[in-house]
Parts: sequence; structure tokens; C-alpha cells
Amino acid sequence: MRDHEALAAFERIYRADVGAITRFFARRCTEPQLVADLTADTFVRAMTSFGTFDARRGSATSWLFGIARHTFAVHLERSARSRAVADQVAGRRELDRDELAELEARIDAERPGRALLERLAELPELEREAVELVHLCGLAPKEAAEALGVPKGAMRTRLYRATARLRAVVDDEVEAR
Amino acid sequence: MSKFENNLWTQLERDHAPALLQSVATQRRLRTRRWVGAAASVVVVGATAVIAPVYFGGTPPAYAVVDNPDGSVTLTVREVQRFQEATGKLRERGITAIAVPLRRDCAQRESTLQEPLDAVEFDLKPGAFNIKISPGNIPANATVVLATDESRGESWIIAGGVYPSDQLPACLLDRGR
Repeated sequence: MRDHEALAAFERIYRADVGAITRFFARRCTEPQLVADLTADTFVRAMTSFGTFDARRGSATSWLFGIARHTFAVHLERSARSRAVADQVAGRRELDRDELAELEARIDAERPGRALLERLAELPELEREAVELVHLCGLAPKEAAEALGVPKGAMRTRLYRATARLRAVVDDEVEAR
Repeated sequence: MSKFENNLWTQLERDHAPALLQSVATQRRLRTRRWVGAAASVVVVGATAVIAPVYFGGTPPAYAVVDNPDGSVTLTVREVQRFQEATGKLRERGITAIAVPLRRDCAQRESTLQEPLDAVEFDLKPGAFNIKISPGNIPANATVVLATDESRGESWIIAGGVYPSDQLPACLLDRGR
């Protein structure tokens, strides 16, 4: 792959998935600047490791979500250590007023998604993430399995189990009313 | 795309495109670094490349040769016992290639690695080796030498190099994994 082809290929991936990655963080953070920073950091990490991406081993979307998960885990770890998160983010850029408004709207739009994640809080982390990637991010189960690094068969099991538990939670809520 | 997404791409392209290109170039080098370039004037050029092991399940066919639109040829090898035969198919395509034994006791001279050629690329897939050969990138008077230990069973390796045609090795050294 020639240089200009590599950059063009990455740009296509960026344009196809930046919205989904931004929403992924908008479900986890309510600060627009933090959503912007984590999104930027994810793509910086993706660019600096683009040579390792192999489309034959999985889709670009699942690859990016794998990086986004890692980016968020690093963010949580740094937050737990009370370090200045903003200073650690490679792609940090101050947002202008329009961008802030855009991201605030996006965070607002993800409120139902955040509520669903809260309802799934009792589930094991992998099951919760499986539901999110498939039902909120729109990944195919195969892609979700790639992003989470689990076998496809295990992904089906997790999804089935998570959906059953979620249904039970909803039934309990209905009964309690 | 939104203003945020457009601005982020502008920043990423400006600040991180070199890192992306570096990543792609590094991976390309890793794939081919053990392949030795043989200029016509070079007296001795040769090296053994030990590639990752393949685990296979005996899925037919044992090998396949595909002519790619760009003039390159992809040889897929799935069974080590048919390696000689598979390599012979390359010669039928006009590619100067031979198969030799891969041995731990091979008395092969060490040589300095040259700049890698884009003549041969390995691609490891579950259960098979893909070896893509670009005949146009093989120097005149040079031969692709591929080696494996055909006595191995479940796990096997392929080694190889591009050698001056008048100094072809009788074997390649198995350096282990």
C-alpha cells in the first residue's frame, strides 16, 4: 500500500466510524471536552498503529472499538490515580463554541443509551459491553466478538444470557409497578 | 460529518499522518525484513527467514496458486508434505523458485541483510501460509529459495530468501522459532 493510499484508507475508516466512536464516549462521559479528547485519542492510537490493522482478521469498526475500549480503560485508570487526564490525551484540542454545542447535543442524545447501560450495570462487564456493541453501536455479533477479543460462539452465549437477564429486569420492574 | 469531526480529521491528518505512514512502513518491513535483496553485482547474498509456525487441519486442497491482477502470484500452502510440489507450480508460472530442506545442521554462511525487496511477502492465516511473489521485483539472475522441514507434522515453518542464481544454497538453516 502506497503512502497516499494508506492515508486515504484510514480517512475512509475515520469518516465511516467517527460518529459511532464519539457516541461510544458520549454514553460514558457527560463533559463535551472529555468526549472530544477520548475520541481524538482513540484515532491517534489508531493512526499510530494502522500498520498492524489487517482487514482479513476483522473489520475496521471492530478494530476501532477495541482501541476505544482500551482508551477508555486507560482514562479510568488515570482518573483513579487522580492524574491530570486532559494533559495525558494525545489528541487534545480545545473545542470552539459550535463544536461544544454539537457534542452537548450528542451527549444528550445518548441519554437513553446511558440509561440502558445503567440498567445493565449488574451484568458482568463483557456481557454489558456485548449488548452495547451489538444493540447500541450496531456492530454485528462477529464484529463485537472481534472488538472484545472473545470467540464468536462465546459472544452468542453472552448476548443470549445478557438479553435474558435484561428481560428479567424489565419484567421485575413491570411487576413492581 | 459534523464540524467537530471535520476539525478533528484536519488535526489528525496534520499532526499524525507521519506516524501512520511510519506504522505502515514498519509493518511492511517486518513482513519482508528477512528477505534478502540480491543485486546482480553482489557476490554473496543469503539469509534464512524463520516464519511463524502454521497449524493446519488437513483441509483440502493441499496448495493453490493464484495469478493476481497485478502480475503477482500467490502460493497458498496448507500441507507441508506437498511443499516441493507446490513450489514447482511457481516455476510453471515462469518464477525462478526452488525448494530446499530446512535443517538445524545446515552449514549456511551468515550474511548481512540487505534492504528488503518487495519480491516476496508472507501472510500467515489459520491453517495456511500465503506466499505472494511479485516476479517483476525479483532481480535478474536471482532465485527465490523456499525451505521447510517436510518431516514435521502439526506445526511447521517456512523459511526463505532471494539468492543469486549461481550461488543457490542446498539447504537453509532452521534457527528455531
